Amino acid sequence: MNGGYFTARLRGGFEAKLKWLLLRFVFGYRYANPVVLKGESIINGEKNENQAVLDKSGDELKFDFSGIQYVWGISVLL
Amino acid sequence: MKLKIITASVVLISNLIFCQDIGIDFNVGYTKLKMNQVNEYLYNFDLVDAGSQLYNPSKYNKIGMSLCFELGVSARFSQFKFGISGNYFSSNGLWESRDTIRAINHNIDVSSIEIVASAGYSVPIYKTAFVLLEGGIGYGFASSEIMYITKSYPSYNEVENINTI
Repeated sequence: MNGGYFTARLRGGFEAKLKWLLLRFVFGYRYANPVVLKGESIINGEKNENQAVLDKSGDELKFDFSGIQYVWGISVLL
Repeated sequence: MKLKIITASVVLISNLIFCQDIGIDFNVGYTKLKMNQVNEYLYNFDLVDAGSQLYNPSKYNKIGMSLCFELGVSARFSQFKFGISGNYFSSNGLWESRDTIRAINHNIDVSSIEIVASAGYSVPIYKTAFVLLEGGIGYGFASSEIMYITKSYPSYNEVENINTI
């Protein structure tokens, strides 16, 4: 299953500069627009195309990939 | 007030003109995803409603954690930073629900790729140390596979069927 979504993030943290190298730790929130993932499924031997995951009431389930993010990183300055 | 705005504008424009550094950025980290969709997905199965036991809750929670890798390029203008990056997120979870007649093993894989444009601002707190604030917007593409295997009682070893979504 697959699907596209819009995303945004807001982060804050610390950077330290060591000559041409930057070391970084940031944390923040990553928002991802909830998305219905669709694709091929095989349920009880029956193959379906363009099938989404359904919730209990039979509605298409939206996957939400938003969440808190912790990141460590480096930058090489040219 | 007008003078402050003009001064800030001049500083911003001069920063934009005189790019100080081009940076190749590599980040690694993890993000905690919301669990809602997994809970709702599990409610498709009567096992949860029947108050059956959900085994291995630590592994169940693991689905909410995703590793992320980020590779990008940024241009730094004094305290301002503008960049574009590619991001890869990967998450995998295994869990099992079981009652007196069957067991269901679930396996979910989620991968996503994002392209993000970002802007940031560094506030110097020491000679070589900065507080960084940044934001970004972008577009992502997620790919997911859920596989659940139903096994029968009493051994919970005999496979009844294998389903993939």
